[in-house]
Parts: sequence; structure tokens; C-alpha cells
Amino acid sequence: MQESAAPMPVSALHAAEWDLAYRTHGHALLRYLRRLSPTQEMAEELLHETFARAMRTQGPEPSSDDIRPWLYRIATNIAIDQSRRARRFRFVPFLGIEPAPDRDTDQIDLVRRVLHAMPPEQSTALVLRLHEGFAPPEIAVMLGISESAVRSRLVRGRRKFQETYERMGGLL
Amino acid sequence: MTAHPLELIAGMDDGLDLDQKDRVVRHIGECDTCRSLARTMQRIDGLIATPEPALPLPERATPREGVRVAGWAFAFAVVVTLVATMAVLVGSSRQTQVGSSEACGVLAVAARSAGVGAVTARAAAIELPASLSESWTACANGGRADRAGPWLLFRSRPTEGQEVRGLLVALTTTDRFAFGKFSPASTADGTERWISTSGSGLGQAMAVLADPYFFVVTAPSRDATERLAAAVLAELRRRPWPPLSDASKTDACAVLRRAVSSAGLPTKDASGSPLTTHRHWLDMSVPADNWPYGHMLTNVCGFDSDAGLSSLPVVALNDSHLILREEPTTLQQANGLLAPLSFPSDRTVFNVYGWVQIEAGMWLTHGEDSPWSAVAVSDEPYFFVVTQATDEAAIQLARAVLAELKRP
Repeated sequence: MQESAAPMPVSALHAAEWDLAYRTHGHALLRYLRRLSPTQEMAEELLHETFARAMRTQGPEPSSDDIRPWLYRIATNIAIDQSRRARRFRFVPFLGIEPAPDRDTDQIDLVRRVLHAMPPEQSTALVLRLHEGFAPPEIAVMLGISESAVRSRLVRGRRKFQETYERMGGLL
Repeated sequence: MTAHPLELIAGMDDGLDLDQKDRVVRHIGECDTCRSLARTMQRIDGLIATPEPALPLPERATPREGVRVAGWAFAFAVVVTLVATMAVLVGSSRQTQVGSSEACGVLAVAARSAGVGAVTARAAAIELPASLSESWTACANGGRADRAGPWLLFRSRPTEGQEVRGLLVALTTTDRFAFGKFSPASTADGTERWISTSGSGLGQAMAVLADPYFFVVTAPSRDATERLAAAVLAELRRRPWPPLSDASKTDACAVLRRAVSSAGLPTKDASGSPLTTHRHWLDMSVPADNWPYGHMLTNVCGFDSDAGLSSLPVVALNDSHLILREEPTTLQQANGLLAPLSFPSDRTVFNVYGWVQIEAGMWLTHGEDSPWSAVAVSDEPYFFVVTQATDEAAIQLARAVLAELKRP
């Protein structure tokens, strides 16, 4: 499956189908993107961009069975792209009032931060495999790489996760 | 099999064949080191597999169908536009400030046209806190301040882009509104917008900068807020007030838009989507005292393909960016500002190799970890930095920015 750059006209019927696809797959994709993002706002923005890009490009029909892996593929590409950009330059959109940290979420926040600090090809493979439950062959098709490349990313990813998690103060 | 099959242990649950798995399991049974590694890997898998808490699905902005415009309608629109332009030109000399009654008139028409709020409701002025009343005017649908939108807060004086950050801070810290955090939102119409991430009883808020106007609208949902903002803009274009100009000489986004165009740099991305400007405020977590660019924090703009991602706190520097210093800067001061910068990796802001002077008042450098170039220019009183994908493009953009700044 390849993303095509050709813009796709959106008819009213098509828009309704995309609305349904959003309601059907949006929650799972949001959780996936949240796991890979340091903030909820960022995850929501990535989700918004995932559907915007899916509607702009030629892919499976929104009501087809193929739409789920297609959306995950787009979301993964966007998450990887975002993570690479984060390594080059960091801006803040606005210095607003941030909520106080919640102790109960410290552990999950640390996992998110570790994943965000890792090479994005590894972190996305780990989250697709372990958080989303995709099998390596499914991930291979989704990402357009070989199964052995997926397994390699998973192995290196676990090692990198361990190293980064411990460097950030986590105890295994 | 090697003495310690570490790779196989790390990937044991990723589809080893039965024979491999059997050998790994037997090895683990006999080897403390590998048993410990296997437990660590299981713990890692468990951490990553921990489910994310359920999150509410954000409302999705619905793309609208294009409207086919008949030939006669196009001709009519041209005539109306010409008449409106004449009215604007005549009116612009009379009107320099927008009062509350005028703002309420805008809200009443815009709310009806956007289908937001009661059709028959009239907008009426509402009182603002003392901290805002000098430069803002506000109206609410029905004149009631205790209901969920629509509201219009209108800056009653012309607003420059670099003022926006301070204005958003003022709005955010005013208890009366409790708007929450504002983040940039995508636009493709030459304006700049920020959407509030949470709202009070006023609903969703959106701030809009459309030179020289700056306003905030609220409505019950994001979709309704976007419709209302578009309707307010349409109403501003229709009224005989100072026209939307985009002519600022000191605002980084306005200068960058003109410079990209005059330099002949791309205005569309690879897929043909128009690039747009995104205003950035650099990371304030870096103490300004330790950072020579601290004075340029509020006047930074990107012209890039981040549409839809614009509220992300990240930017690719191989697109056009302009960091424009607001204060007059001498050549000597510029030299001091160009000191090489390096921060710990988790607080990286602007890591570059050393600057190399390529001609009088112009320096070149490259990104440390990716293909982008930056050019700094000092031409008293101006000092700025631009970025682009290549040396040639960065130099071309720098010259165009300088020409824009010096244009009479």
C-alpha cells in the first residue's frame, strides 16, 4: 500500500463515510498516537492530520476492511515525521497554563517520554506490536518493509527502550 | 547457537520458529544471565502494552464540498468586490479604531451568516475587566455574558503579529474567560489562527490575526467557531474599514510571506498544497539570559508544509523560516549574537555548527543533524536569521528579506 499525493475530491457521501470511519477507528488511533506523543494535544493533532491526509490521498474506501491498516500506516508515517522534526528544532506553540502532573500517571508518562525519545522507526514498531497487537507480518505490510526488518526493529527497539528508560530514571 | 542468544531472547515473542524457541527456552533454563534478560524484556513488553487511558474523541472539522460558481455570479462578485474595494479605500481614511457598537454589528451579522446562535438574537456590548478594557471591545449574543457563545472580543486598535503572544497571555490569564491554552490552527487564507484547547462555559475559542485586525470568537463547538471566524472575516472585508493589508514592516510572518514570493521560492509543497506561515514562539524553558536570541523570541515565523500539524511544537528547518530581531542592532551586537550555541540534548533549541562569514554582514551555517542551512544578516538597524534547505536558497531568501525590510 502506498500513499498517493493526488488530491481526492470529497463528496457529501464520501464525507459521511469518513465521519463513520472516524467514529469507528478514531478512539484506537488516538490511543496509539497518545502512546507515541508527549502531550494529548499533540496526539489529537496527529489524529486530525491522519484523517485529513487519508481523505486527501487515494487509498481504500473508508468503509472497506482495508481502511484500518491504511489509517495506521498514515498515522505511523506522521508520527515518525513529527518525531524526526522534534529532533531538529523545538518550538512551543504557546506558553499557557499547564496542568499539574498527576502522580498516578507518572509511570505511563515516563513510558511515553521514553518512546518519544527513541528512534521513531523502533518506537512505532514496538507500539504497533505490543500496544496495538499487530503481528509482525501485518506490521510489515503496513509499513512496506520486510518481516525480518520488522523483527529487527522490535529487537533493537526493546534494547533501546531499556537503555533510554533507565537513563530517564526508570527501574526495570 | 551462541553462548548467550540475546537477539533471539529479545525477539522471542515476535515469531521465532518452534525449533528456535525451544532452544532459547532450554538455554534460559540453564543461564541466569539470559533468564534475567528475558524477565527484563517481558517487563518492557508489559510497560509498552499497558493500555492508554480512554480519551474523548475530539470533534473533527468536516471538509466542505466545493461550490460551483456560475459565470454571471463570478461577474457579479467582481463588481461587488470593486465596489467594496472603493468603499474600503474611501472608508480607510476615516476609521482607525473599532468601537463596541461596530464590533457588535459585525458579530450579529456574522453569527447569522454562520448559523451560530439564535437567528433573532442581537449582539450587545459586555463589560470587560479593567486589564482589557482599554484596547478590547466585546460583544455577546443577546448581550448575556453567562451563556455559551457566540462571543466576539475585538482588539480595538491595529495589531502587529509580534503582539499576539502577549495578547494571548493576557486573555489566558484573565479569570473572566478561562480560555485555556491557545495553540496554532491551520489556515490557508493568509490569516493566522489559534484555537483554545479547553473552554469555559463560553465554549470553544479561536483567536484570529488578519492584519491589521485581531479578534477572538467563541461558539459551542470547533466547527461552529471556525464558521463564525470565517464569517467575521467576510464581514470585515465587506465593511468600509481599513483593509486587510498584510503590509507590516516588522512582523516576521508578513515579511517572510512577501520575501518568499519575491525570491521565487516554492509556495506549494510536493503535493501542490499551498504552504502557509506559522508563527512560533521559541522555547521559553531556555533562560533568556543564557540565550543570545532571547530578544527575538516573539518574532519568529515559518513558511512551511506543516498545515494540520501547526500546533505541534516542532518545525523542520529546511522550509523557509525567519527569526527577526525587533530592536535596532549594530554590527557589533550582531557579532555577539552569533556565538555558537549548544544546549543539553533534551533542551535543544538551535544547535548549529559555527557561523562562517560569506560577505560583509552575512554569515552562513548548517544544521547539526539534518540538511538545512541558515543565513544571518546584519544591515543596521536590521538583524535576522533565515533558514532554508540549501545554502543557495537560504542566501536567496536572506537577500529577499533584506530587500523587503529596506523597501520604502
